[in-house]
Amino acid sequence: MQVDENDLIAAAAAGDHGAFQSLLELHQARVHRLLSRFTRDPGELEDLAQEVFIKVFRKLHTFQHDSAFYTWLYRIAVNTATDYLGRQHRRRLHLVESDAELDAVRQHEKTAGSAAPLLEEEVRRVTREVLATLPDKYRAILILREFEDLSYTDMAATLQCSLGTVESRLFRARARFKEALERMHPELVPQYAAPRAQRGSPR
Amino acid sequence: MTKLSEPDRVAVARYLDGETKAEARTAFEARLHAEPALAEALAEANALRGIFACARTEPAPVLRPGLGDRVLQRLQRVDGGTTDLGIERRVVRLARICVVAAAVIFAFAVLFGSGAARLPDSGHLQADASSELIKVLDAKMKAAQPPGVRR
Repeated sequence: MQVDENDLIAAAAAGDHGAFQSLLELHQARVHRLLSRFTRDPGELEDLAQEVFIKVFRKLHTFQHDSAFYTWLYRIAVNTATDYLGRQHRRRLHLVESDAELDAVRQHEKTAGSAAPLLEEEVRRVTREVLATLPDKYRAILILREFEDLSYTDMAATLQCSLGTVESRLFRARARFKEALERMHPELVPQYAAPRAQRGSPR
Repeated sequence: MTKLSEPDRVAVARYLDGETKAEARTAFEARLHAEPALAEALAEANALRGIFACARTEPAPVLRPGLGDRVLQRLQRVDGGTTDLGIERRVVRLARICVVAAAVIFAFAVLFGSGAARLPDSGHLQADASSELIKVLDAKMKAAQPPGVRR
């Protein structure tokens, strides 16, 4: 049976735990995936997910239906993840396990015949590593755009800012990412990005 | 990096992200053909998208089943019944006050209790008791010694 999300929200806001659980089940995978862009540590992910949904439960009565529920949910998730990582003293995320591990991957790539899958894995690791060095607001907007594929309008609703701010912040975030990538992993830019550039096409 | 103004770079990003409206899109594509610097900026931005496109394919770690139950348990533990957060905090605060008070009383007891043993007369009393004890022990040792043995 199809349950209306607004009914669930109303019931959960009134304190109905069953409705809240149904609402959580509807969105938990998406929230979990979003949070996994901030940290890969399973323990931290679990804590973050619990914290997000506890906040959702407590703030549900403030949801005004002036934006989609998932953008409201994303706002809470992004703020919770950012605050949490801030409390961790901006330490390097568990996204990048260790330099030694990265070296091992590189070594394996040198010796193994098929480098392509490993290169892809390395690109993922490096992307996470570079993202982790960016200021919160740039990291958050890149995650929303590049990983979650949110439109500019949804990003504006999630981040509670204007479309113009989204555009300029996204532009600066990409510039900062590229700058950091070139500084930290210059080897990756010509080897990986250039061939992709020729294949890419606008969305 | 291609030298281009920020508004132009923002326009490039908007175009790549599919956020350019139809009429603006046609105009932008006309500019792309006419301005090599704009086309170069588009290629650069697209290269970066390639990296993100690779990174985004990474699957999220497996979500442990029962998140809803765990969240509700936490909510009930914190909000429900007599164990709401306010009471918990008050109990903890009261316990802390009790511990501090007990520590202060203990400190006073130790301080003044041992102070009594150091009253002026107590030294004489202790010396008298010690000399009495020595005399008793001496007498016992003498009694225990076989006859003819001298110390």
